[in-house]
Amino acid sequence: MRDSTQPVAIPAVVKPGFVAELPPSVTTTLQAEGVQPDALTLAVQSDLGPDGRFGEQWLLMDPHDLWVIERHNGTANLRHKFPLDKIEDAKVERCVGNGLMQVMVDQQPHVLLHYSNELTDRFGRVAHYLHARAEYGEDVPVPDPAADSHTCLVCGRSLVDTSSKVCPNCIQRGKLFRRLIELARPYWGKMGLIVILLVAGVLVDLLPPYLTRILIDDVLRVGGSAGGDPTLLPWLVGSLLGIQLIRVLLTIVTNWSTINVSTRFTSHIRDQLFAHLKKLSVDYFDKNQVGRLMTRINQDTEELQGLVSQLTTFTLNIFLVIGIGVVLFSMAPSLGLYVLIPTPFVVAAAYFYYRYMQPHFRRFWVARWRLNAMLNTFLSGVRVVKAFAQEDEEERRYHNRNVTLLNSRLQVDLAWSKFFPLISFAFSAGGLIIWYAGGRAVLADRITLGTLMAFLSYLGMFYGPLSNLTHISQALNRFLTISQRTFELLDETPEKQPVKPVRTACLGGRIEFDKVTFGYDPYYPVIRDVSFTVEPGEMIGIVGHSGAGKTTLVNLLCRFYEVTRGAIRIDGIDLRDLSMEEVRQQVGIVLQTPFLFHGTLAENIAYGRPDATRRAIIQAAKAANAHGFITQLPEGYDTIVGEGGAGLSGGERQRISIARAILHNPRILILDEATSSVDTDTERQIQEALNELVKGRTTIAIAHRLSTLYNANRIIVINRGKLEEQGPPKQLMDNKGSFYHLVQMQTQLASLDGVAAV
Amino acid sequence: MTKAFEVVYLDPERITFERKGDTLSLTLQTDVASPDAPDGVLEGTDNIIHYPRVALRACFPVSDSTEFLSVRDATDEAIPELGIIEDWSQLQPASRDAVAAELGLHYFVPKIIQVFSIKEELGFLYWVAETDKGRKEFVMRNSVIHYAREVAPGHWLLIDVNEARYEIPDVAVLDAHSQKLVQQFLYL
Repeated sequence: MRDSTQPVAIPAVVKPGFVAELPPSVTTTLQAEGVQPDALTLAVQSDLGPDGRFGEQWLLMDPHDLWVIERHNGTANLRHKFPLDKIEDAKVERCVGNGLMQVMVDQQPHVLLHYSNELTDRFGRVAHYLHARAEYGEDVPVPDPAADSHTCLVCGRSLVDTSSKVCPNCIQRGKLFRRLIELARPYWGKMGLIVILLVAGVLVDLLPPYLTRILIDDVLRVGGSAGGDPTLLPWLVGSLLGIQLIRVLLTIVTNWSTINVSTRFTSHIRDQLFAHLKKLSVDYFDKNQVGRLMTRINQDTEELQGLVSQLTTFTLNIFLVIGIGVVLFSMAPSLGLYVLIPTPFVVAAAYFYYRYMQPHFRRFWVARWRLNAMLNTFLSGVRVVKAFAQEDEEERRYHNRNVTLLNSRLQVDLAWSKFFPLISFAFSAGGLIIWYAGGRAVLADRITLGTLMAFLSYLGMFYGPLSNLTHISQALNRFLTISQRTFELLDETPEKQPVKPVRTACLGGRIEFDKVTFGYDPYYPVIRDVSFTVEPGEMIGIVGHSGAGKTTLVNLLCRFYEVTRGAIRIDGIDLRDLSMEEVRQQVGIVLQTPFLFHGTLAENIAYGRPDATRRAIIQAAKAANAHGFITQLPEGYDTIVGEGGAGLSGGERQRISIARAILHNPRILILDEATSSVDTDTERQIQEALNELVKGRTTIAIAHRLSTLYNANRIIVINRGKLEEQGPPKQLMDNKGSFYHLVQMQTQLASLDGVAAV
Repeated sequence: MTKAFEVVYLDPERITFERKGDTLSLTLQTDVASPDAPDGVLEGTDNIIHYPRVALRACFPVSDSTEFLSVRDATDEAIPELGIIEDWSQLQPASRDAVAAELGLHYFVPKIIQVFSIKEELGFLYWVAETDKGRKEFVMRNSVIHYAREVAPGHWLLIDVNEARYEIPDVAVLDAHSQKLVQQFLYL
């Protein structure tokens, strides 16, 4: 066992020119190899040792060689050395909690090293470089392994929350606030009004104790040289009543204005977010899961609204604390100081509440969530539970979770029952100090009784706002973090549009893929050097194993993504020079899983052409073999589908989406496994509809069932991102190549199923 | 066609693993298939196949990693399974050590022995812990529901922001301070 008390810091990337940062033992080992450290072009550290523990290994490169050096207990030893020219390929592989990097040398695989997940991007870049170098020669530039990784844009430290680009420490608060205020421009007037209302409210709040003082000192005065003035009594009580009424009115108006502004403000932000979101490329949506985006748009704005209201409360409380503080000290400076005595207790109690009560509440929520999840699973799987006779086992599980919930609830209540009396005690103890000190002052005639009473009233109003203000930094931080995330989304670069789009009156529909290479992650190409052309009106079938890159080809044609190398041309014009609308107007697509929006069937069919006449809609439905079942529905074309709408079968939904494509009337049609998820009979019906649709259009059909491609003019076989074979189906069958084998395999499978072979 | 549905079990006595650097290779002795033999296999003649790099996948990595080990050809992009070793403790000692070392590298799931501190900040938990692989600081999202899984009573699996995994094999055997921290932040 080696000594491992030192925490492993986030490993460094040593940039060329900064090689002095290499540990001396590594430098010595290199020099023993006859290499000077300043000749290095790359030095990357891994945080795992060869023994499978946290440790240190260095991958080093100069223009000729690659080394892996391990450092252990201050001594370094060379593990691998390969001449770069002998490396035929390199890749990274994902393991569990870590990854590895492998190179091929002399047709033999060599695992160079392992690294923890944090460094996946870094080593991925190095492997990609080695791969590219093997393919394209030594001119390929050495990458910066640290580029584009999840580090804070400002301070460069590793980012924990990768949904943000800047770490919480580096959020430029001032700049963010200015942007927020700018964004709130339409509400400036109303916000000013709110501040005025808040100040007015504080002033009104300060009045009653003052009047009480007059009441006690000047009206209710008993005995003494001069008695009180009883005529003032109705006036004072009347004034107090009036003040209370004004306070009620002010509260209503303030609350209403705050809610009004915060709701409208966040709704305004939501609109802006959505407007921006629709401009982003498909690529962005791949990188950001639906769930996370939903959170950004719904939850974040919701929380922002809550925080805006909370900030208003904070503002009010700040005014109150200042206002009351000033009044207290001016009324009786000596007593004012006593007020400060309980202040630390109040602040401590508020802090303690957050530290001590909050975990209990959260534990209770989690336990409740777990119980609900269990109940949910049971209810949705009740048939399975019964079929496997597991009712008792499920009951036991439910009971266990219920006990956990019970215990956590008891803990919450116990903690609360202890906490609440203690905090009340702390508050009233503050009052007792004033009673004692103030009482002595009254007895010594330093202040009047009225002053003392007013003082005590003010005191009651003082501690509440003060304890509330202890959370202010937390709320403010949260507010800034969410604002930052919101702005980041708004700052995301929209889909690239050509600078000067080429206008064409009408596209003919000739498609040309010219040496297209593409990877969703540029380091891992999934399409490699694919070239083929499709003549207008031709139907092409694309086949290949799942994951071969068929759908990717189609995504590229729709320009959901941009090619990494090579070009795609329609009628000789580069796709990148055509405007996005033009491309998508000319390209229609029918997907494997049809997507219906919430709305009527008619609206769904007319999705791409909202101005279509009813005649055209029916015509399209008829051609898609959908008219029959639609008219059988109780609400016909007015049937509401989508979320919460009528349930249609997979085949029916597919025919709706075909009708949508027919009505859209594109020059180029893409069928992406349009019939793969339905039964044979439905497939026949859909196939009939499709035959209608492809007439006179350039069609690219991806199909799993090869039988559907027999009327294609040509077949293109894609294997692992490369074009393997192309030609008319009959010719490919005669060639006995990959297409032939695919057909053979399906025939065997079909006979296994007992279904007649294709 | 039917072969794909059959599980191939490898005989621990007829396989040899060897480790060079971090590369695990395999030498496999198989019977020579022969259509002439009564059961399709010609007895007594060994066919030796060498795989320059193989990958290992434990079928039950959390509950029991010594049983049912899937051996795969890592030189093929699809890493197809060559077969399963039911109990790899029966391998020859040198092979066994090679397998243990490979598994230790592939499944890098440090076991938490002691928790020094856990801090919550802006929706993230910052851990400092001693693990069986060395001391480590890591960060996980503070959503216990999604990133802490109880795989068996008292046995927790934590997933950090990089999808790295950490195990607490049994919360009850941790020292009092660690237990208190874990209970407070995982809401046990």
